[in-house]
Amino acid sequence: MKKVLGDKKAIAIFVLPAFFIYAVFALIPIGYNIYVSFLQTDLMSPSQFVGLKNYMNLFKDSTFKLALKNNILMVIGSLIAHLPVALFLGNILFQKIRGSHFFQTVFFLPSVICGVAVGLTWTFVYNSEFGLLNKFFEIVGMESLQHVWLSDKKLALFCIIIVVMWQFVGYHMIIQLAAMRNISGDIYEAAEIDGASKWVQFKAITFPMIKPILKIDAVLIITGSLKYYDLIAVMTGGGPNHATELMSTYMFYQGFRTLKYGYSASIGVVLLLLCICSVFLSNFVFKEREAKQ
Amino acid sequence: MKKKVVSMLLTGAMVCGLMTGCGGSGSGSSGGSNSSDDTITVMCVGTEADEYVAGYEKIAEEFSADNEYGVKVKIDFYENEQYKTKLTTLMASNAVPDIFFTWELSYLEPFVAGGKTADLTSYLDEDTEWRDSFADGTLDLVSYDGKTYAVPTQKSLCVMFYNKEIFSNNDVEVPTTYDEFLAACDTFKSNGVTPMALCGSDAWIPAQFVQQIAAGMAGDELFQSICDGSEKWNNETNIKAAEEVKKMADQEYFNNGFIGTSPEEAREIFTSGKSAMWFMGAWEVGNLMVSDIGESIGVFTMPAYDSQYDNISVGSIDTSFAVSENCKNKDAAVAFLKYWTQAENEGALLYDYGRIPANNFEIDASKLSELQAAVIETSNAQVGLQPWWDRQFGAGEGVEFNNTCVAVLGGEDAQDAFDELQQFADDNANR
Repeated sequence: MKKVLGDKKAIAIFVLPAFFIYAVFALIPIGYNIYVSFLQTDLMSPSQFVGLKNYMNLFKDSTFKLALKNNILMVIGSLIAHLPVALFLGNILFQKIRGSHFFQTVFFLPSVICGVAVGLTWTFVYNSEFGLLNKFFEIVGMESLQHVWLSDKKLALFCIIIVVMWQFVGYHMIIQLAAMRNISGDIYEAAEIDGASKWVQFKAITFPMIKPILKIDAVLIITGSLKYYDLIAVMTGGGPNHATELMSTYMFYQGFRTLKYGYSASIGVVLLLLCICSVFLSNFVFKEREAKQ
Repeated sequence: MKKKVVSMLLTGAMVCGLMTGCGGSGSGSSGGSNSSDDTITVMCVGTEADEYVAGYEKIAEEFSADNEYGVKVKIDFYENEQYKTKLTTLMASNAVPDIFFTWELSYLEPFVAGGKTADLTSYLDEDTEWRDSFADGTLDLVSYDGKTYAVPTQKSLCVMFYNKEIFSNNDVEVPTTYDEFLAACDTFKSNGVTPMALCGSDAWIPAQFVQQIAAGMAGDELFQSICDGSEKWNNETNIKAAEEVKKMADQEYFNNGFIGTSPEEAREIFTSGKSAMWFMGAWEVGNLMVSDIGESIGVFTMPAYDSQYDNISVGSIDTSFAVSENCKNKDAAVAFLKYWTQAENEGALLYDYGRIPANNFEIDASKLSELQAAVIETSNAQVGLQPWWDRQFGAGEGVEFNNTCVAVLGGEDAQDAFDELQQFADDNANR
């Protein structure tokens, strides 16, 4: 077996099919997208090479700036829910409390439901006339808190961020929990004999040992919320008046609705660059901490 | 060891085979649906909930059963938003079905400019009887540089539907002036009836109301000046009209929480007798006729703010169909459209579903319900129709106009909102 793995041809045979798929569905489209982003085109009439004009227009476009800001809020919201909160929940379940398997399943459940179904369900929850939330406020007599949640410019985005937080907290919790379960029980036993409290155990054993996983998780969270699309598309479609627009939905709007594919491609490139940057950034942050210790 | 390498190679080959297999069958099936010579594929907007879908399908079936080209016609229906996405994708990848539903003016324009749609002028010129059957000016809305690229099957305009029972219960007459309209709203409001059902979640719906009010303030001239660029989006009239609608919202003339109400919910509010009026396109007649209050619905045009501009409505042609350039059997496709726009079929659509035809023919008044007759009468009484802004300007400026109206209703200052719209229009021209 070792010999096979040392053989370059054999490696190529293993890697090529996957690479082929990756190239066809990721690398080539990305390359083509970068090319299109330098054009002014509707992909039907002859297109025109405009150099960096699309990018220059982007930074004058107030809707794009709003989308960028919304994306950053989305990243922040997701980071809060999917690192500290997920870690907290994961750590509770890690303590072998009764029914921890049950809770594990319950927390994980939302992330296996398809995004469209989640979006529709929450649209009903937020509905201003018969929605669960407004009805709840009515029953407890706090009518002043009732809102038209998803059509209120100031609230709509936060309503959606909360759903995203809720939906994926279990997913990240499971990743982190799996990492915790990989830690050898001996270490905890030794710590307990030394009289370490649960908090100290977490701080000195669990956290440092799952840090590599947290790093990957952070990258997943940031890129995931930068690319986020489905709930917005289902729940508000970017409205009211672009208040919940994210880069991905604005890209869709500029491409498929206004037929400005070149402009839309340039949004895609910015999105790609931001995702790459976020990977480097989180690598950097976690490396710094490692060095300190 | 060799054996293992060979077996791995074979595995690799199998994987590749599987993949190409998938790819092959995928493209095969999509290619098959629009390239086979004896099936004409039509793409259209519609959902199960729309009454007219059955009528369209009947036309396709009858044509398929007997035509000189021996073709079968298959109509695929898609929900509105889904349709727009699908069509633009198919356009960009050159896989448009033979006949496709289109809106007029700006919507069709890029497809025409990109050479994706067949020029129908020669077919219309050959059969002048067919060409002349379309009402005056309707074909102009789907013509570019003097060539016609689509045929309309419907005419539509925005009207105010009202519940006669609620009107008589509250001793309110059909308003003929703008002030009477406001007074009527006021009466309903103080009697605890919602004056108007309005959907705010789909931006074009409040926007068409704002456009209607603006039309009543400055008439067709404003519309034309915005179209030719001599008047800006942030002109006084647009702002005043938006403020006027906002004022109605503040007076609670619309249903509670209207800004989040969906189109279906707004219709439901009206048809369940909770609101006295509903401002909507006449295409809803089919749905209204089968509703619980179908018998007691009447219709009037929104009285103009300035009465010299009465009877100018937001309206246009509707449900136009274009033939794609890569359609293999254009003659058959055109023949189908010709069949569709025959008096007999357009008549059936009118009598059964209340679709106002885009062509002229003798209407059998005895087959019309009271509501249909009223709508036709209203339609004929119009001295001017101005297309919806989002059709005139398409996505981009048109859609941003809609968004701007929603923003104003959501509490943003009208002047600021329309200034932003103008800014967008200036920027967007250049993208």
